[in-house]
Amino acid sequence: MKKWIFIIIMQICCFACFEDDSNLEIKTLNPIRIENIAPGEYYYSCYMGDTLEIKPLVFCEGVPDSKLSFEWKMYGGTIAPTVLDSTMYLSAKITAPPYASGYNLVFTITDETTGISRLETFTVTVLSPYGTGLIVADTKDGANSDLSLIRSKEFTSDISNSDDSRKIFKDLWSQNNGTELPGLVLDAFTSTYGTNRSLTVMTTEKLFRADQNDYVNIPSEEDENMFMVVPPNIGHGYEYGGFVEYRSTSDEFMNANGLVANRGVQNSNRKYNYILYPPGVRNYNVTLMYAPTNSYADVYLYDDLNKCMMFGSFQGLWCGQNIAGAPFDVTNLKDYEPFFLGEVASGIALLAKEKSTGNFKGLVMNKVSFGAPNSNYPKSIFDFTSATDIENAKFFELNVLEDVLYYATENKLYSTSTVNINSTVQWTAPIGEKITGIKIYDAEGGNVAYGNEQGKRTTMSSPNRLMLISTYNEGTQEGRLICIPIVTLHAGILEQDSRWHVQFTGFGKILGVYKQN
Amino acid sequence: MALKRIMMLSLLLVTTLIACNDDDNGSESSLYNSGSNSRVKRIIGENDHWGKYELQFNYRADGRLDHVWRFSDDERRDTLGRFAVEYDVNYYKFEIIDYVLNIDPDSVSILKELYPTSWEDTLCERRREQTLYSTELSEGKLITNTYQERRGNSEGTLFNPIYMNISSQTLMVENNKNGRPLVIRCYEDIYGRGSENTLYNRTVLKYEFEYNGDELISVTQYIPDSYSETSWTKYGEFSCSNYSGILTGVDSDKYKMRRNSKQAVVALPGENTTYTLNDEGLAIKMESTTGETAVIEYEAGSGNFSELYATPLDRALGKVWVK
Amino acid sequence: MNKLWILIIAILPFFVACSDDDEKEALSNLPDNDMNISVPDGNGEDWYAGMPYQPYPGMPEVSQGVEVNVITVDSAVYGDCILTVLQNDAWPWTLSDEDNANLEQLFFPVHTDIKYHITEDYQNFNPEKQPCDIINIGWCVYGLDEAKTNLKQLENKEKFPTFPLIVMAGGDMSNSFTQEIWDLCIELGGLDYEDDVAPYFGWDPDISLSQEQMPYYYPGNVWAAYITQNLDENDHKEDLIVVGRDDATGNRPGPILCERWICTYGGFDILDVEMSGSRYGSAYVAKIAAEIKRRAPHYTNEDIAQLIFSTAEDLGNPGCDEVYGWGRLNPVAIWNELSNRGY
Repeated sequence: MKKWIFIIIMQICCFACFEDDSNLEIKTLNPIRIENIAPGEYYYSCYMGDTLEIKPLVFCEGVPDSKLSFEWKMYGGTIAPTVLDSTMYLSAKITAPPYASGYNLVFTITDETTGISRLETFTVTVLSPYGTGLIVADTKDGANSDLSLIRSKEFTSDISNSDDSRKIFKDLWSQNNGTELPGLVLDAFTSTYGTNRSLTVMTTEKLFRADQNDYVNIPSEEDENMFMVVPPNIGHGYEYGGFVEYRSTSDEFMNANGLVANRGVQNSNRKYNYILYPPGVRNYNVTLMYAPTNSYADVYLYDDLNKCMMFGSFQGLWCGQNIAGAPFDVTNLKDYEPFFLGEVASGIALLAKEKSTGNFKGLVMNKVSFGAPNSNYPKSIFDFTSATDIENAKFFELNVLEDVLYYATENKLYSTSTVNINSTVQWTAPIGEKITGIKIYDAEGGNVAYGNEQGKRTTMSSPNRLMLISTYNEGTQEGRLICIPIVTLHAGILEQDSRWHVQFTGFGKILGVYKQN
Repeated sequence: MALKRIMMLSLLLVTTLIACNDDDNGSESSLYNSGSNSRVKRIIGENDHWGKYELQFNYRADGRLDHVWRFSDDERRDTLGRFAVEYDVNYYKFEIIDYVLNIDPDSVSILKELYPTSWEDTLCERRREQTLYSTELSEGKLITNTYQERRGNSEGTLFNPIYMNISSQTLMVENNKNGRPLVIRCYEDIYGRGSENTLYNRTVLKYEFEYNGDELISVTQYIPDSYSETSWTKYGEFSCSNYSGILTGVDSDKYKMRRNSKQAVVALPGENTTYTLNDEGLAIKMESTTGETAVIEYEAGSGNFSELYATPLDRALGKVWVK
Repeated sequence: MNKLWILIIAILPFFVACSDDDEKEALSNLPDNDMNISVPDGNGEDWYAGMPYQPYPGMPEVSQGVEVNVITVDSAVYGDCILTVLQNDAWPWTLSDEDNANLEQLFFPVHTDIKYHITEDYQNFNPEKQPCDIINIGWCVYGLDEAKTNLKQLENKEKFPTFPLIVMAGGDMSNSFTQEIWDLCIELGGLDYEDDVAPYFGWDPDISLSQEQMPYYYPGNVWAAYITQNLDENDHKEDLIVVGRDDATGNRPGPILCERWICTYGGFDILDVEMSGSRYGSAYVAKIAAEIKRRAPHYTNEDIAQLIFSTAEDLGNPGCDEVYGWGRLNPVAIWNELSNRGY
């Protein structure tokens, strides 16, 4: 008996040394890991046509890498969901059109052994390669024109203040359309109202329309096709004219050969209405037109046929009334030869030569919005006859922030307060170059650097603080744009240290500069 | 007779029980187990950066490294630096720290003039610590950082005691059932020079290890490739040779290793290091073609020094000979 | 008894099987491998600071066999740093994208025909009477007398058989060398702030400077002005290049120095430490000038200077202006022009 007990116990002990080989194959599923992407790096932006690269390191412990499958899919805006790539790293050319809200880019990783997926969503904002900046119109042969786009921090807030890179997209019109613009550019205007984007160009030959995101001409919106009913002044070439924006509704006002029409931009409208006429006026000839760019005010127009001022809104035009005791009569400007219409701090100013005296006068009008014929327009007059070299002045400019007159002869840029005429030379063109135009940057966006009292780099917003001077060198046939900060307001003082002057070269003869929105 | 039989049977029983006991290597479960019976105690050597040095290793009761002090090789035995470790749950940080002068050479000469007897004590007060090398295990990732003294500072002409960034490595290790590395994914970051020293160029790499039982046969290196179907392209290969389960050789374009019973040779581009090994296969002497030498002394016990300073990748590829 | 033996024999394998201490045995039995291994040392970077000389696209390897000797005069502290710039061991601290695209043209190892010497002795620029084609002066002179004496040294035919090209630093004070300041310099005999300017205006040199006083504080290198303005009819204007900084810091030439002024990098990575100053830019220009001389040994000092000025990248107002002189040194354009000319 005891023998058997011992044998049994011994056998039990042998079993005790038996290893526990129970089923340990409970598989813990490891998560699919995405590494090498920081939390803030889920937002990307790139230009249309660029290759977007996102490089996440993806793996799942316990799963061979060959058993992971990937998909990058973009959707949103107006595009159909598109698979951009199917490998771990994304490297794909983005052809989706610019979309400010940003497309969704979904990265799906599937573990083929279990069928489990992980999704990560990125946001991709596609920017127009062209974007906001400054359009420069120039001519190389005196007969045809082209448009170039300057993208630098001075003209757009898309580019960071510390980014000094300056890109000029040269000759965008001819590059994207095969030929230059026929005729010389008189004016160009861009408008962006939601998705209703347009670039309208008036040359001496035709009116053209394109999308400022791609500069491709839209033939169905050329010249007469811009109008619902074609008025007589359209379709036969243009001697003078231009565009302004009526800020309250973003309407585009066009003056073509003296007659004015407007285009509403809401509801994706692309066409101009009828020619506007003030009540009781059968004919007129607008030679100067101005609308304030940073306030909601009416459009001011000078009618050279009837020698009076006109005023406009999206509803139409009207004339003023003669107000007793006013410094001048907006309905009767027969004694004046106006040559410039702009805005100073005191109001809208019409610069004119007084015929009877030969004096140079600035007729300042109150800035009115939603005005009426009986609005109190005339405000004051300033006399700038004594301004140095004014008889030789060819170009004029005013600044809404100050009561200052800027004017330029072929070689020198002067400035003077309109309150106290005391001209000083602010800039001299180098030998060989002639000034072909001056304009103050009055659009939105941008920062400009200048030297403070200690000569250290300081920056300020560009709007109304940046003077743009275009010059032309007959010898080299090269046009140049020089941008100079206005450092002291109310005295019209420009930055004298040329370190802070920004220049763009390589143009033909510059015809004008315009903001691209 | 019955009693004899009982005793024989119980002898059989007891020996069976004993024989089936696992061999615990003689250490308790709470102590660190490095798989070897020795740990480094002292290193005396010479290299370009430290000149002649002596390192003293101190361990905690559980075998983990506590602190290392670096002394000058003269009788004064000034403390010139240290290695520091910090532990936490699933975390450690290991740093090789140098004590550098915080005063420029001109001021040192002025101090010497003004305080001829005590200027050296002032210098000691005015030292700062600079990290030469660090490894950190945190959230499953192992990050190593390599720094370097600025050459101008050591020559005394230009004063900038702050070490500059050289490179950084981040490793994510996936082990197989046996606890050996199966896949190691890593970032190699190389920092720029001059004004770009805070920016790095990152290369993403993957190493896949192939075993035959416990023997490492080969390691294949891959880089990501958005044009490849598998998203990875082969970039390099390390072929390994073994003998009785011991890694005896590694071959690749930029790295080779060979070992026998007495020696191990590690070859990197332009630099060969020869280790003289003891019976446990640990280096007791090290000589490099760049002029670096070291003599390593061990003491009994298990220590984790090689786990702290070397990465699992280096250990698997046979680059580590000091434990 | 037999059963006992059977038992013992049956038990023995247990001991053997459960023992695992055979690793040590394997270690001592490893075969002798071929331990003679090595890996070729391919240096990862193709082009790096301090690399040995090798020809590169655009630089003709043909040695004219004529040595070009450059002497640098500066104190020991700066001298070594300047040598690192001259010898291509130090590159600019910040490299632009354009610089990175043109590394070989801008930062090239020095040809063996070009020899550098350095001296600390301000009173004796060429103690060992080395031949000298270019002399690099990184420090500014503020006294007219000192300027005169220095120039006399260079006119000493024993020390300098041919008059060397002087490459001089413009200074780092952010001031402009205006006509007014030059007139003042002539009147006072120098522009040392403590000795000349402060006493003249009655200012206390120990008080920190006011806005009004700043422009007079070491406004520029008087020796450079002495030569450029041809004072005492020294007739060495054509042997001078003055170097300024292209990052809108440092002194500006003003009307006095602009004709001989060129701008280049202001900060260099010298042995991993950032060092800024026009003395390092001046060394860089001297290096470029030496390479020009190597390729066209018959060029006069004026030929070298005009080549540098005419190919410069125009900064500021077009042409030579009072802020940037001729603009930024453009070695790529220089090598292209030299190639066009057949050198």
